[in-house]
Amino acid sequence: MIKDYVPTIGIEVHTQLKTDSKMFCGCSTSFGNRPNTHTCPVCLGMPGSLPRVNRKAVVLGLKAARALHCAIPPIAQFARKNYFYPDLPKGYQITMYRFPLGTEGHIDLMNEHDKLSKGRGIERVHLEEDTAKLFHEGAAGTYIDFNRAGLPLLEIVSKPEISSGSEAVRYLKELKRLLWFLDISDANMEEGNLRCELNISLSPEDSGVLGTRVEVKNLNSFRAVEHAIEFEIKRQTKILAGGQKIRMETRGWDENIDKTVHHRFKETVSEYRYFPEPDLPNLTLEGDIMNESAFDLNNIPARRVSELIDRFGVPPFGANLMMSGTGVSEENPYYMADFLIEAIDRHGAQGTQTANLITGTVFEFVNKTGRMLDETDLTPKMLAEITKMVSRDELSITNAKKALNLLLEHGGKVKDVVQREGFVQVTDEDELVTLVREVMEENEQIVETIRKGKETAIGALVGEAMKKSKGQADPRRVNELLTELILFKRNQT
Amino acid sequence: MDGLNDLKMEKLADELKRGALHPRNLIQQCNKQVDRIESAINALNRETFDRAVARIDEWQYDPARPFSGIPYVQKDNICTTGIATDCSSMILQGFVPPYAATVDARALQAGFRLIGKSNMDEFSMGSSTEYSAWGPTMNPWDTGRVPGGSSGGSAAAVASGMAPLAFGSDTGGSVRQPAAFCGCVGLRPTYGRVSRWGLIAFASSLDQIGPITNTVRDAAHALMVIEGPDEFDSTLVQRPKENYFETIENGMSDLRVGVLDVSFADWVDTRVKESFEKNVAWFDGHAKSLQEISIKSFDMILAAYYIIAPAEVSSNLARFDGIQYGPSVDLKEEGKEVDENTAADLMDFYRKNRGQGFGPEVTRRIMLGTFALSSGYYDAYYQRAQKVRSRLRAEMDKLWTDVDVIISPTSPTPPFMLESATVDPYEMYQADRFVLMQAMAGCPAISVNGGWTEIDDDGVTKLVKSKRRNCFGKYTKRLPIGLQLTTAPFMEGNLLRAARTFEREHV
Ligand SMILES: [Zn+2]
Repeated sequence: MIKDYVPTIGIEVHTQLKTDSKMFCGCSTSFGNRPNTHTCPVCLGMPGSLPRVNRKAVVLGLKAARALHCAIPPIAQFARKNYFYPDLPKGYQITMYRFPLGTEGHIDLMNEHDKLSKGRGIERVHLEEDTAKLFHEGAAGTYIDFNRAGLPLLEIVSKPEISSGSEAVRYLKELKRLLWFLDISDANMEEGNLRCELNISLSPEDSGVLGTRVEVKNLNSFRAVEHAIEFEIKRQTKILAGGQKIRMETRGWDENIDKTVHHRFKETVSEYRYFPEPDLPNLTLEGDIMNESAFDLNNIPARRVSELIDRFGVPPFGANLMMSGTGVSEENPYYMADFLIEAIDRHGAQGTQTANLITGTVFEFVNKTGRMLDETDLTPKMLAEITKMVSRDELSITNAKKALNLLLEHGGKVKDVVQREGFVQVTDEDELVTLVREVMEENEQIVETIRKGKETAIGALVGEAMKKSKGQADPRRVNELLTELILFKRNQT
Repeated sequence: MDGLNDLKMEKLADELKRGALHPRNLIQQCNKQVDRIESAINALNRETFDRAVARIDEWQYDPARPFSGIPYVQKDNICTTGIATDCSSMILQGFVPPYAATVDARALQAGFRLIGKSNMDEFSMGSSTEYSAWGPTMNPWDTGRVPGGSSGGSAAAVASGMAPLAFGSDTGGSVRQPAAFCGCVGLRPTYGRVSRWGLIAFASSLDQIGPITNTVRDAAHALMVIEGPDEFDSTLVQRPKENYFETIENGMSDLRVGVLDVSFADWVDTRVKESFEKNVAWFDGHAKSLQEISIKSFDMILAAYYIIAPAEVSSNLARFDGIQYGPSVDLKEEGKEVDENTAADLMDFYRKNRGQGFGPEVTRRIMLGTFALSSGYYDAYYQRAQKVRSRLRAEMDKLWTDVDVIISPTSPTPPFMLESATVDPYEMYQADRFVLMQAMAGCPAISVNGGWTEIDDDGVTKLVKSKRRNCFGKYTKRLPIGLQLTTAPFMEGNLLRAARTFEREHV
């Protein structure tokens, strides 16, 4: 009998914090420079040099810990993780061990039903420094670039509560969005400033024991994470079902073959000889540093998305698009959401309609022109005016979008644009009746087919009427009038 | 001036001010003294007289920098810009720091002139300066004896008239013990008073830089030059410089003195006890009060120190792997056999570079520390040692409500013979018993000369046989014995005042 195995997955994320200087020295963190140009005695680990904590990194780390609802201990402590490797200039990495920045948290997540939910648990959040980068040049030897050495990293360790590839990706996407929106990290996987490692183990259903852990590294995309998990579950299931044992090992994701491959076996727990970093005093996590890292928890992106959906009636797709952060503003990633809410709350725009207008038209515009929404002259008030005209049937949706585009492009007043472009919708009953009669006369054949029962053909006549009125006729009323005049007459005869 | 055997910064500064002496001549005379005796003492790893006399003709007396033009010696674990700094270790051979220790930068800024880097126990690990890759330093009072350590080169340089000032580093007595052995003044400031930036770390939580001089007043001057805020050391207690001269001559009739009870323990040499007894009698007549004090955790300090310090050593010295510094073996070529000059793989590369680069005492401590931090042993050793340290601190904090100054000998023995302690490292560690508690509790302490003893028969024989003369050109039958004063953290004002009061009536 083949047993069912339950996967237990934990994810370790390392993200590079958005600071100007490194974790323990003043060197620049800028990316893509000539090797070893952003170095100093501290990040080269030269004898006699001493680390000094980058306060900004602590603030950002705390912000992340708080956004992940972690308990913040009164004191955090740097520790040394000792091991030998050429990318580690001091022979140890300064990290946090017994006293991290935050413990026991969880992530706010939009679940598959687009509801805000308490997502997977966070075990710990701590600060550390990055290692140097090695370039293996074959026979020419190995080169070391210390520009990366000492970059500030935040390690976020999830609890082993994830059970599938899609769940892992959902967690990672939400984490990435959180880090990016709260300006904690660029969180770009491709550039390597968001890196993740998986711990996957399988155990027989209801056994209550955890299986042997396999580590997977080299994951540089969400796709890689998802596939690696799916692959590992299959691979380990096969081994276990065959009555064999899983060995503790580190595997790497190989993109080319879409598989994980063996790196090395880890028969014992690694010996890092952690001890408190004597060169740095403990961090007291109260007072100024807590004020500096404080922010409105309602700005956690998942919460903003949920607010847009639940309170403002924005469809989930649009809400997520608005909270994707692209094309909106260099300074304020929430600009679009703020914009919409201001239009609704302060200027009386109607929610769903505004949302549709803004997501569709504005994204088309920013994609086409490369301009940011906050660089245009469009204001929430203008948007509200347009939507109000639409709901009063003074403006068709088509023309509203056109008007919005013109306003985005050139600015100006809503009224002026609508009038200049002749977007005002004709609602005068007499004018409309005249229009409809003219259309009926010009399309007698269609009128005949409608009378014979093919009522759907009315649409064609509505189109003709709209064309004739240059889009200014109220299409709903035109439809009503056509129905009335054609079908009502038929019934009379 | 009356000879170079007793160089005093203050006196020299006065002569420079009056125009009775030009720094050019002063440095030349120091150079002569080095030429004359260095081969017998081996105090310096390298001389920098060329640098010391650079642009010396432009020198002018500047009241804002009263010590400008005065020579000094820097311990070879304190980084000096553009001057090799190798900690008397093979593994750092040829390392030229592109930056200066804060202490060195401040000395230079005050106008002091660097004349050399001093010999030391490799990476400061040792109490005799015999564990140097460049050979031992000899005690200027008897070249058959050790100068103490690890700042033995610095103390010997000052004692032998090479310079009126040398800096040392004190992790567990490395300034005070050699000062005592060489008859000088050695000051260990409060942990956190003097910046450690540029001091090549031995045990970061214990290391402190301090001056070695011929007088207490000079030590106070030197401390005022090197202390003060420095953003580059996060463990520094950022506080402004103090002026110790406001009170240094005020006597000590307001200070309560505690005599450490173990000063008379059976493991203390009788000659040291005799000298110390006289010191106690003097304090009895000059202090506000005198009482015996005991420290309950005293017997645990040595063990705790020899866990904490090596633990930090094992990590601090990990960076010396042959990649960035020092000589290193090559990776073996394809198809060739591995020998002692080639490595089979990365691990072998580390093993060989470190195995060949570090001396025996450093290797021993790296292994001790690595063991103490290993999982499974961490709680039993490192964690327990930290508990002892906390307990000691608490105990001493309480003591300071009863006394202002604690006195004890600096070393349980007079300077010992060369090669007598290196045989059994545990014996050598015992020599540190009076100087560890200050380091472990972060207290400032000073060693001044407390008295002299006749050289015993063994020593005299050796002295005569070897025809060695001390740096004064005379045979001597005397050896210095140190007296140590300790106060609460940041109470250097009291410390220097008490030491100065004692010195005033004894020198
Ligand atoms: Zn740097």
